[in-house]
Amino acid sequence: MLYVLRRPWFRLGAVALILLAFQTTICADLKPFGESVDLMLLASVATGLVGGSQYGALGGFIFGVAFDLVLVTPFGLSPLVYGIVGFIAGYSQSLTFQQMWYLQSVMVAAGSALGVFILAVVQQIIGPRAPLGSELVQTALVVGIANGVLAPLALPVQRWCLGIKRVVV
Amino acid sequence: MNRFSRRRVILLLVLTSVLFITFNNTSTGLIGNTRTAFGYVFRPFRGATKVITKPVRNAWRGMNNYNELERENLNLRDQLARQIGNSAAAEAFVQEHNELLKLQQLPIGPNISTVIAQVIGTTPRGDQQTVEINQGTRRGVRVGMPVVNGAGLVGKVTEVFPDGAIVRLITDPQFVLSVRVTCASAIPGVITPATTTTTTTTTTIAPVVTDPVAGPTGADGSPLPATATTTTVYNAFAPGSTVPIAGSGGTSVRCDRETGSIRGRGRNENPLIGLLNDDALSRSIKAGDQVVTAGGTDSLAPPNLPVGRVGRVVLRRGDSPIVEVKVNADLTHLNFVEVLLYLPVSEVGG
Repeated sequence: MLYVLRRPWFRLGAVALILLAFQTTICADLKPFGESVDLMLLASVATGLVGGSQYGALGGFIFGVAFDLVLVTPFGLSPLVYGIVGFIAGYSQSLTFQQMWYLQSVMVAAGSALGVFILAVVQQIIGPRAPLGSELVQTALVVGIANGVLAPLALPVQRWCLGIKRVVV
Repeated sequence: MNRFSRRRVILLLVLTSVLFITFNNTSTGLIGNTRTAFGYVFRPFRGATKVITKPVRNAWRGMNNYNELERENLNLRDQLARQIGNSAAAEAFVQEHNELLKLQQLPIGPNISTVIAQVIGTTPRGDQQTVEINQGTRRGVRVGMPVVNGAGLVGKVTEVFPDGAIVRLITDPQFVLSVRVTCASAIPGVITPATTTTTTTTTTIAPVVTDPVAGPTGADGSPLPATATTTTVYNAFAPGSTVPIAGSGGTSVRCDRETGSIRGRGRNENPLIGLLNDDALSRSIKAGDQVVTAGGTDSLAPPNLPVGRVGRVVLRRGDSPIVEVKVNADLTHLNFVEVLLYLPVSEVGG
């Protein structure tokens, strides 16, 4: 039993449900500049940054599935996009040597903004079509900055999920 | 995880996502049922989180909306004062209208029960436009039922739980509903049935007998003189209605209209109407014309619910015009709404 509780996929699933509860309540109400902060995207990018591309893709998939269960957009859209974003975040992490906390926040911000753009592009193909204009840029900026600010909280949680201890250089 | 190579894992995840999307596009209902089941399980957690985070949400609202609320409060007080005056006048008109309908032995209103619900949650991500309401299957709410507020159509129920439901708003990109464009003189914000009153004015004194083949004839069987005129006046949203032209001495003209389907385009964008035909009727649509639900045996909404007004019309050569609709209801500040317990005729029959 304890073995299962320590498995990364189980912990990622549990964190996904907790974040989903916050996403559908507090984040649905607190909208800086009219945009919802995307905690599930934050967690996907953070998983990739702490665990690498493989765990990033897995984490993104789990967070995406959880989010799609409460959305009315086509099911499978979020796991696909968040999985890709988690993978990219993990891959980009492997290219950098030293990970200062502020650098990680910047990477979370950039990854989240990228996620918003990828989501919009995939929606153009799968539907429903989301607007691709200044509104999208605003969404990406707000989501990116908010997730960057929240990154110092999200990264330790994702380290715990994957059972990774922080290496202080 | 160690058993699989990195490429295999990622490929598997992508393929699974694509498989989900494919399932979504088929009509198996598997995805819908999964979502509904998850909704049942997840609701208590969500409710608890809502209670826990309420102070934070209230503090945020207090910080961000205080000035706006104060301004809005003053505006609403002004508006309320005006509405009280308008309401008194409108009541007199409605009474008079109903008396006339009774005299003509016509139905007064649609017999549709409603459930009043409060909006308790908004959309969790910007790319979908939904709200959550606090009434569900226990009160008879079912998927597909239209939701209105005082201003008109708000959306339709897309997911339902025992004590709650998710309403897809008109502005959601996946919202589609058949609507009709009627003339600008329609009464805004009033949900009325499609009833017909007929006024017949003739110059002959002898009793009139109507022959379906030969047309109106006099009591002696001879056709009525050419001076006899028949003017049919319908109420605002009825099909084929005519409206009097101010100062034209009582003559009336046919109200231009066209049927099409309204589609949402997301937040901050007005929905568009895709018209069925490119003809003279669709080209006569003007800004300010009323948009109401079309109804029909398969439509999820009854006919003649006000939706909005035509905001902009873009004429295109060789194609039907693009009609942009300004929705009547303020979808950003929804509080109380009504769910019409309406089922399409086709579903009731089946």
